[in-house]
Amino acid sequence: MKHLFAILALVAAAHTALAQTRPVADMAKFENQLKTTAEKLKSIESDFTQVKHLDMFDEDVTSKGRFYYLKDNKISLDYSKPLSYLIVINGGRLKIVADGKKSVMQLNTNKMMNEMQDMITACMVGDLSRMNNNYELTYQEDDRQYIVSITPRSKTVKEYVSAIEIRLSKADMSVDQLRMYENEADYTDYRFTNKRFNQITDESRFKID
Amino acid sequence: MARRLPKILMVSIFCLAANAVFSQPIIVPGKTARHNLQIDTRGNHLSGMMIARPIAAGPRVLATSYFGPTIFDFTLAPDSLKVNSCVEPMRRPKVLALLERDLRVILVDRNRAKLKKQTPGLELRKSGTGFGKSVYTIIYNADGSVKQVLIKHPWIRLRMTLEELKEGG
Repeated sequence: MKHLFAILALVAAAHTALAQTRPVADMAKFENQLKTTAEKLKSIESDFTQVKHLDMFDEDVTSKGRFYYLKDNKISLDYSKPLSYLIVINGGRLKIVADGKKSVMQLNTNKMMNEMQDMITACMVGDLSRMNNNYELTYQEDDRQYIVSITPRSKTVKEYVSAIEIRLSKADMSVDQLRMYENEADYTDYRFTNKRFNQITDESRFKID
Repeated sequence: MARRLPKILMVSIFCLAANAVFSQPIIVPGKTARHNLQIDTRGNHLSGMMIARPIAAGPRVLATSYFGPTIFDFTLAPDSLKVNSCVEPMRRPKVLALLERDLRVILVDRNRAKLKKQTPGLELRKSGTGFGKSVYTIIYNADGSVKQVLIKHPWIRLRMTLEELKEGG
């Protein structure tokens, strides 16, 4: 029995140590890895699970779909649950296909929308070099991931996104999880799984016409 | 008259039954209702999710885009609208008043709009005139639950559709 308690205590301690975050020890290594990955990265294709947590409601809203990224700045989120919904961002334009109807919006005519587009794209693909002085970044790590916390300085952006937390896999520097806080209590999580890199050859899914 | 009485009674009973069955509220205590929300205005189509739940202060109603960000979050208190959050373009008194009126008709008391037509599967209600004119069409499932709500504001060319989202998508 004593042994069982000892084992359980050891497992608990190991788990705590693994989950514990600390400031990034080697920033130069981190920045170098990030830069090298960004240079090599041409495309990403993955599954995603989106969970919107609303503090006032006692349940989360979960959506699922496929995520596609093609260099530069081409993003597609193809939702399959709870219903079919498509978002494409390409060349400063946004296309939404919902309920069988298509809407196209110009993002680059509005400074705020343009900034939001840049920020979302940078966060989803982990290209932090695009984050300019409008954001305050802090870096943490645990044994598996780098955790980057981003706080917008602009009041206007803060009205939509008060903070962002990106979890980058240490194995390949890709984004495992992105959390966008609307306020202290409500946030949306995006978890990316089954990632495939540099495999997209057909650009048609990013087409906006 | 005596010969007509059974027919009148039958019609009355049918009407009462129809009213009882086809008046189920969209939100019930202890349950969160989720609806696909479509907004069509001047050639633009927007889509998102409306989440509503009764709380002590009144129904809490939140609209969110499918991508994540919240569009608005209101509490329909008995005598006022509490704006918990709302994106800037919609934070105008006229827009808020319009939304409040629609939400109160749909979620709190449908009798705020006049009943114009009622069949077992459909209810048509109207309120206001001119720019404030609103037409509410409520379509029911066979079990009496609300299947779809269509809100039209003809003068401002705004149309909103709510459709229940089934569990598991």
